[in-house]
Amino acid sequence: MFHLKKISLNQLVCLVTLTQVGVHVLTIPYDESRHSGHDSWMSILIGGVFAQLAIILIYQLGKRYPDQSLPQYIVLILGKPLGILVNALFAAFFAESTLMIVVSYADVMNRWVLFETPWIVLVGLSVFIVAFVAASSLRSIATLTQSFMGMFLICVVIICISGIGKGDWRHFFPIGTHGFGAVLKDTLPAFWAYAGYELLYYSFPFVACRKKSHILLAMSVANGLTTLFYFIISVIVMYNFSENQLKVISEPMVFILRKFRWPVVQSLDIVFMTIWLSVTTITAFVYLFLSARYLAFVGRKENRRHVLLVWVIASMVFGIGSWFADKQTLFSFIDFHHIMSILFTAVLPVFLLLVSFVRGKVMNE
Amino acid sequence: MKKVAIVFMMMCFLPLLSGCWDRLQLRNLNLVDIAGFDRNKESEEVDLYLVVTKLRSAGQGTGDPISTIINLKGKTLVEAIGDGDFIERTPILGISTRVYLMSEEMTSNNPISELAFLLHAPYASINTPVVVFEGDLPRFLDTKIKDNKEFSSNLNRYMKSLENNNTVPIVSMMYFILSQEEPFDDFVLPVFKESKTGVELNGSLLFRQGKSTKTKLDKKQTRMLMILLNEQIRKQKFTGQLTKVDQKHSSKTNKNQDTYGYSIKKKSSSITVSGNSSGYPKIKVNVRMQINAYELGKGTKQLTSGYVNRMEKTLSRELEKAAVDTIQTMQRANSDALGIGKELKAFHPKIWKSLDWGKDYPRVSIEPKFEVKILNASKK
Amino acid sequence: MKSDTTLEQNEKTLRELLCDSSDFKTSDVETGDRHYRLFYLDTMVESVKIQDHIIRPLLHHNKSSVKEAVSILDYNETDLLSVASNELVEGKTVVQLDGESTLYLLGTEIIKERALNFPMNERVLRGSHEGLNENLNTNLNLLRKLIATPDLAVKSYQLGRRSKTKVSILYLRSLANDVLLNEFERRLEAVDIDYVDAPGFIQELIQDKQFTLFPKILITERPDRVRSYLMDGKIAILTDGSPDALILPVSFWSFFQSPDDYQVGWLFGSTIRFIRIVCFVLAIILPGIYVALVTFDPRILPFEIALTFQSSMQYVSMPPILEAITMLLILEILREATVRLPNPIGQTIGVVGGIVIGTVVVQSNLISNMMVIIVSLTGIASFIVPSYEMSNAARLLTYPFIIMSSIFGLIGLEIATILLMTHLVQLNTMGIPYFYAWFNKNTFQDTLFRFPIRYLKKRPTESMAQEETRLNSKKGAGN
Repeated sequence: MFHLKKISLNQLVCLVTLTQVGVHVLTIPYDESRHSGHDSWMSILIGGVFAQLAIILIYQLGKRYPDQSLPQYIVLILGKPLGILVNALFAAFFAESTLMIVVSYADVMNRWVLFETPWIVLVGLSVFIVAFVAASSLRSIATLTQSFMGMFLICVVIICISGIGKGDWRHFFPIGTHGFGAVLKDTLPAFWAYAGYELLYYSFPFVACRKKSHILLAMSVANGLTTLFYFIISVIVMYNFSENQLKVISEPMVFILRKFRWPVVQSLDIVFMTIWLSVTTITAFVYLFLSARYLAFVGRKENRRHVLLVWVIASMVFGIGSWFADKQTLFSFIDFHHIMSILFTAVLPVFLLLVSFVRGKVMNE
Repeated sequence: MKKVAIVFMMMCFLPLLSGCWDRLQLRNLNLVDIAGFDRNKESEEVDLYLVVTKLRSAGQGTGDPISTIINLKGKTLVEAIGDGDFIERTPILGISTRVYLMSEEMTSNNPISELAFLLHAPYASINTPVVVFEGDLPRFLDTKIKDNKEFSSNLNRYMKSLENNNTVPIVSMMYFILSQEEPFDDFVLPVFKESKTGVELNGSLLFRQGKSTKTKLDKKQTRMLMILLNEQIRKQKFTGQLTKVDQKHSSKTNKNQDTYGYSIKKKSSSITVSGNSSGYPKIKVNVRMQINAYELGKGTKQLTSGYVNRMEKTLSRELEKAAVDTIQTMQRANSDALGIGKELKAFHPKIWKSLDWGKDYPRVSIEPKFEVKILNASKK
Repeated sequence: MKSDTTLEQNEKTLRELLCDSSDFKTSDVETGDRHYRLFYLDTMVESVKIQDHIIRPLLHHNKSSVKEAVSILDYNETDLLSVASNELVEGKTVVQLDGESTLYLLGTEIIKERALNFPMNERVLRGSHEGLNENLNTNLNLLRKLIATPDLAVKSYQLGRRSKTKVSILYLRSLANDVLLNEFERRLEAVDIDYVDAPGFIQELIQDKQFTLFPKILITERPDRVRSYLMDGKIAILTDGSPDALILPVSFWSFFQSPDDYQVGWLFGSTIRFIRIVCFVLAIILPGIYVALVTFDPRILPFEIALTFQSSMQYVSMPPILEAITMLLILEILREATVRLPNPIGQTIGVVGGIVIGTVVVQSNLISNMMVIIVSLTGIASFIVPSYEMSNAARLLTYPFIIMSSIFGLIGLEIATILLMTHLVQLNTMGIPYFYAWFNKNTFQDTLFRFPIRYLKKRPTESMAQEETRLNSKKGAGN
């Protein structure tokens, strides 16, 4: 019997791009323009560069153990008890990411599309689909993501068509008056928007390619696509709204999408948010899948019942998510999550890389 | 085990069928076509007039539109809408509204503070144009709707043609509300007036930072404003009479003067700033036009190139006179509808910092410069 | 059971084995001192063959043995009566010489079959109009004519304990994957059932155990399609008694290909292929979109269109979801009834049904006319798919989509799409994935669009063929 376990480079690019692009598309560049104002596009580009650095670090780490994924070789780097602890922390982090995405998008839907539907139903439905998809194999997830690339491209086309029209290029000028410090300060929120390349920790050995350096190329292409997409959005938003107006509107994309006017359809913000549900679901189920895979390695042997683990984590996510109907809790949770994501996506690969270098040197001597 | 899980999941779905929470059935909706805002001077109350349209006996390609007006009152607009819940057949404001009509009373007293709720209200249609109405709004709506069944669709078609031809700047509700945030985003709103057949464009109203300056530009000045702005003008015919060099620009007609008529093929305008030692910069608005002239005061006689060159210069002078008049009106009202402030802020930050635009705008010298090229001239 | 030397004893046993059927006949041939008896079923044998090639030579050559005398190609000997009775049922004549217990089995079958006709359910404008028929040997003949290489391997089996239906597997030995072949043969041999009714039974018996609406085996009646799939490295199964050939392993996109696409030029072929796939998607989601727009999100419709929709449903009492489901069910009823109607009445009922349902139902304010338009578009769009099973799947899937869209609006539609896609992606035929995205590296030339033949260089990945390239473009071609 054939069981294809490897994913192609094309699928890796689609997976990473669609995992990185998430709920943030509606709020860019509100968060990134708090300090840098109309220079927020620079913050976004620099955020992309930082994400690229993190990708290179993770790639180097993966290259040292080309046939095993992180949950398997972490015990080689840090020793068994610490390794299992890190696996469990990773599983918790990914589960928490899933929770955050599900809850953020349920909140967006509650405010713009489905006003009366009770919170539990929204969260429950989202968690159900996410768990249903995450319970398949990596290859199925990759094929599904590839198929949804088409939806993503439709959304990009919708954004571009709605964005052009009445606007003013003078909102961008004078360029650079906010100063480099302000731009750097706003790079931090931009960096959160690029989270999604942690996938490489796990999937490094599962990519079918002739040379391992092609993986780095694929990841860079994916990151480049995401950067380009965010850049286009921020340019469109700044073209339409000036800096002062942006202070009032926290979700500028929605208003821009409402500008769309055709004889047959108008105000595509609802259609966009519906199609975007599929893109955020992709982000959420990739995280849930990773969480279940990391949880499988906590313990002496690898736990093979992937489906069971996925549903267990999903029910916990649903249980906690039902408490987030209150927006205040949501905001403090989002802040907490941002700190965690910097820790796991930027700090941790540096740390692990250093430790593995040291260990490698010790073993050679 | 798997079958039990599947059955359990199916059972979880059953309660969903019981409640469908967000239904907004189209056939129960009252579709609002035109929304009118008016303020009552004596009672300080706000009036909301919603024109609801339905199609009767539709089928085989025909249909009979029937409109009715619903009047809601309240101290503020939000309260008026809130009171609407208690009236039968309440429509939901603005799902597919096609135009917002504001009476002059309404615009004179900080309209944006009343309308700001539309930005975040559910189901609000904020991309429809806003128009100022000169006259008695409730009586106008009442009579027009009783007289003419096609009134609302005609109005809509008129608005669309205005927007397409760039006859007058069309401002959407979202832009209108957001202009309050941006300090130097001034614009004009078109002013409609009642006419025998429906409505008629009667110039425009100048706004400054979301508040009405109560100064209007008449039709010719509005047209000049559109020429000065950097927008393409389509399908419009510019006509008038040529005045002599030393004559002042006047609107009285004189049988002995030559008439001219042209339409603009292509136009570009730019703003140039040159610093001045006296502190205020000199601002020039350069407009380059390529026109197709169909009447240049000579009837059916042939146009020679010498005549055409002279006509170009004469037309430029005419236009400059009219432009100076328009710009002076705007400066007196302290409304920067040309966007000069934005230009300064973007491209000449040093000069911008040295000025206080809110106060200095009426004192700055703005000079229009026209360059007209007649395309359909014969070369002799 | 061994045969006896006496003719009467054998005749009695054979008659018993054949349940005393009235078509069991015997005939005696006496020449010289030899007494032959012929046993046969007169409904299965060709009497001319028996007369010319058995009785006449036996009468002439009264000194030689049966084998030397008779001029029949299909010659066998046995001394077991059970074997003889099986062969009798197939139309062979059993000859016994009085005094010997050897039974000679001579092939004299008469073949009654439908004449070769155009394929009933798979018409094309350009391309061959030959269709397979119910006789297995004729079908094999047609296929061997199309693929005239010795590489075409034919393996025969007999399935069904009581029906003994002949089944043949065809493949190109240099292309088909060995592991797949062995697995299919194993599954066929493991079938233990009374009788087999191709293609439905075989399809279900050898399929994987995943529950799905989508067909995983392609069924076709056209020999040219069978040839093109065999050339791709796939395996074909032919059954006696049915003109349908089963092709496996196939992917999701094979169900949208038709021989027409390759005959009419790549530009038009691509357009039609693309329209087919778009119509398939429309057939699933169009009623759902309409119900969602009209029940949940009329904000998306501009004013004029909203007014038109509203006027068409003004006086209709049923909610849109009930309208949609009722109309779809009526369409199914019409479709099923038209298949069963005898020819003369069929036309009339079709017209009457269309007029009544279309016009009168709208005029009596039971159903809005927008709904009639939507449902008829859906119905027609679902039949554009060349495969009947796939269009069944599309029509069945419409119902859950309508239900989901009536509960949650457009979001419900999106959720249903995600669930459907997940299900599709998890399907596989023995580990080979059933569905792959349309811009996969090797396969995008023949899925949504059809590229010119020059670019269709590699075989599709799902057949796992031993050799991938099918076209070696040389420099001289095309200039």
